[in-house]
Amino acid sequence: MTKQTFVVLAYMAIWGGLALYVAGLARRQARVARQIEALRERLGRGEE
Amino acid sequence: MTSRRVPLLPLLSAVLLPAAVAMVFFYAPTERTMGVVQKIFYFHLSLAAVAFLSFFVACVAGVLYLVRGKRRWDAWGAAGVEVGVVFTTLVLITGSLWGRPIWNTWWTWDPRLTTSLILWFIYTACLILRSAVESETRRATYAAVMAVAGFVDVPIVFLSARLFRSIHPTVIRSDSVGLEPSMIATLVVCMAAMLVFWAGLVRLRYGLHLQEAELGDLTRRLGG
Amino acid sequence: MSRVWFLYRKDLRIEFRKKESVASMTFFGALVLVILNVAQGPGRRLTPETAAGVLWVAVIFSAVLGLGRVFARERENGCISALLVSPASPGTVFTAKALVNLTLMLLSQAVLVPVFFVLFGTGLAGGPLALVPSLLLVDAGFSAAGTLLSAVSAGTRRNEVLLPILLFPLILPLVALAVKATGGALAGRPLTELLPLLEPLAAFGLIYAAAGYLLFPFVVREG
Repeated sequence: MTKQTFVVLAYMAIWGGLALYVAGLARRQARVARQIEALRERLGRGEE
Repeated sequence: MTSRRVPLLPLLSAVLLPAAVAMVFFYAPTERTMGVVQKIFYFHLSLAAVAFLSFFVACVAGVLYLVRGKRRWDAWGAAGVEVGVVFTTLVLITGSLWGRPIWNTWWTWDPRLTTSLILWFIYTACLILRSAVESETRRATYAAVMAVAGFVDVPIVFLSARLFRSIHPTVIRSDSVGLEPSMIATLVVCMAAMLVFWAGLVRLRYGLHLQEAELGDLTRRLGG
Repeated sequence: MSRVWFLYRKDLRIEFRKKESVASMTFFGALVLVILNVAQGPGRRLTPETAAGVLWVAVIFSAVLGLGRVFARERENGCISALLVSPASPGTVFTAKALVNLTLMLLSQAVLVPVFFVLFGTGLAGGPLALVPSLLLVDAGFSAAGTLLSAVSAGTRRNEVLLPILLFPLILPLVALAVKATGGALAGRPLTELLPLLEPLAAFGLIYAAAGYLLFPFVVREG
């Protein structure tokens, strides 16, 4: 492997890894927000 | 939950990070002995610095949680540990990819690398601990204790890594890299960009933790 | 101070009546030594450093076995809550437990070290006595950090698995230094040459004694 390959690999690892992590966080947050909304609605109906 | 609507940190890092990458490849000169591989160094070092900063944040948040017992300190602690582990993983990967062409080995027991590796183990254990406790307050306390206990290990880890090496002498000295002014400028920009990005990430993770805790509260209220 | 002594004697008395920890620790440690001896292959001699590594693998693995029991027992009997309402402060409980662990480790090592010398001793310049300083220091650090973390892991669902996962990363530097120090001792180097390695070992013990004393109350209050 040439030296350039290592640089490319390293940068792919950094940005790929960070992008995956951010994407994972965003998905988790979207899911949690959705669930909170649903629960709030149920809670609101239950109190009426 | 202050100034939630202005995504200042993400916007700023969206500008700074590409600028930093551009500086690394187009502004900073290619290093004489290591060649193009040295371009890994800028982000490797930035990642390592902010990873260490995350663990420090986790330790401080742990102490504050134990003293104050507020949920938000647990959230900062959780964010610090998780983001720190992600960044340390990247530090280890890039370190390996840097070491292979330069020192002809994927791994060496250099003090800094060793410290990173041990920190990675300590804080990954912390994540595993979190997943193993169900009660929220208990999980928070245990995680805080572990974050503090892990951080006080750092001086010993670094010292032992240095002593460990001293009998198996190696000629690796990553600080002997002579940096030109333009390289230092690039490094500073990379560090700043990574710091802003890191702050945004920790903040995101912090918000997620609070949301999940709120979800838990709501579920409990519905469940009875 | 007298309370520490009282709790310490109470735990040791239970321990000696049942003989569960020390016996299994020693047995397991000896087993590890034999396995490593078999793995090494017949008729080969180890360098002092490798021999030191073998000893520490056996010591650490046998010690973690005993650690888990100290708190598991309290939890099974609901003794933690009893200790909490008793006049003994959590810090006192921590000190007593750490001393019990230290004693158990020393007792099992009193057997393990001779076994080690029988199996691996040929050609080593240093004798068992040369190992005493590093063994004492590592045991102190190990039991301080181990007592704190076994209290943590005892409160989780996966107690037995979690303890080594939490503890081993923290004591990694301890083991690294201990291997170096005992390697030197086994090679017959004088104690004064090993001092730079022994000092951080002592520092580790002090740091975790303090951290454990301060953090332990928070952990048991959650119990």
